[in-house]
Amino acid sequence: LFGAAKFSRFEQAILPHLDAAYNLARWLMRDEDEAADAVQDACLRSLRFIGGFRGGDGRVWLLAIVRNTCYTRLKRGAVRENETDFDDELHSSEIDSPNPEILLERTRDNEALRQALEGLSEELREILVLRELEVMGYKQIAEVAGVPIGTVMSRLSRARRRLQQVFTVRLRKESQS
Amino acid sequence: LICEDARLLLHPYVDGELDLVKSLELEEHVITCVSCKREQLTLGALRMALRNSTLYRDAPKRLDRGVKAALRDARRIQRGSDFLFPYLGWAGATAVLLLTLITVRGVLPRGRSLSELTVRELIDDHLRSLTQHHLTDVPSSSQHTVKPWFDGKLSFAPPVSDLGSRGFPLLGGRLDYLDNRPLAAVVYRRRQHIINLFVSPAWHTQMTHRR
Repeated sequence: LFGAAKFSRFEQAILPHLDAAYNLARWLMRDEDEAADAVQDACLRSLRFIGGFRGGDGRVWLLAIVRNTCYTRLKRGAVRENETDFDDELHSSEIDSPNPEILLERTRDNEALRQALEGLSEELREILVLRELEVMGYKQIAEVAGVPIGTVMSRLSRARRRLQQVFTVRLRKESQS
Repeated sequence: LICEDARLLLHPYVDGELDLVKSLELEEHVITCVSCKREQLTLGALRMALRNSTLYRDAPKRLDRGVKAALRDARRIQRGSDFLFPYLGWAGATAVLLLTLITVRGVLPRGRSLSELTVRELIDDHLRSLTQHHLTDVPSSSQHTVKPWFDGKLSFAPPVSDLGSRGFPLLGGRLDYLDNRPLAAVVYRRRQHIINLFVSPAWHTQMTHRR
């Protein structure tokens, strides 16, 4: 693509997804400024490679680039924080599902929900953000994250299980004190 | 359907990604199984919580402005390049590009040139430094502050000179990237213009990019 066509394609297909781009970057970088820098960077990149965009879902295309940019930047940052990790070996059926009504009540507290989401490892966090905040289907998520649909499904169930664990532990602590 | 399978199917079920036959099987199971029913409700509650939350982050205004500004710049550059400088993709009414290719030792070996992609990446680095909030990582007009700042961040020591007396005051230094390798950006100012001097090791190139 040359000249004006390149820019108009970018403006029509890519630019409308700036919010989606920032939302993903914000959750991956966990920092407003870092996220804004990453998105700006990703937009310049996507403009450069817009010739490779063959129509289709501009949001998926842009988010894949944003994700890539974020991971590159996270790697550069070298010092990765220790993620809140839970025992992954625990089988889902061994964990009591917390009482749905109480869970719903508790998670109205956005701050608690934010902390729980930020506590997930990046690979789980991004899948959950794409699914629940961006409301993407499995196929789209798979394209953005560059993994098979089966992986999306298993990560999604792991992510949700961990969030449930966080709130179960929280509820248990509260009932003890 | 046994519970173990039902638990796995619950996720695609609540996500609306399960086919009809499996969905019916699952619904049948959930009617009779209290613990799976509870799990289904829990997943539903979690979904509601996330969907109703204020956790979606919209792009801030300044990002929107920044991207549009970068787009305008790129467009201007492109417009100029269409008839002036098709290879480098550069020129424009207000933009002046000065490329000096010198290795640290002296003159660039003949026949060596930067790829178009490299040039674009450097231009992107430059544009980014202008539109984003951090032009410098170490803002200082003193070469004795800027030079040591690069110690340990790069595998080489970039030359930092004080050109203030000649009308190019030093603004500071920044770590930037080219082709995913770190390089030094020494930032000077000439009246209202920002100059990024990108320095990479001798086996690369040294270049100035002025605007």
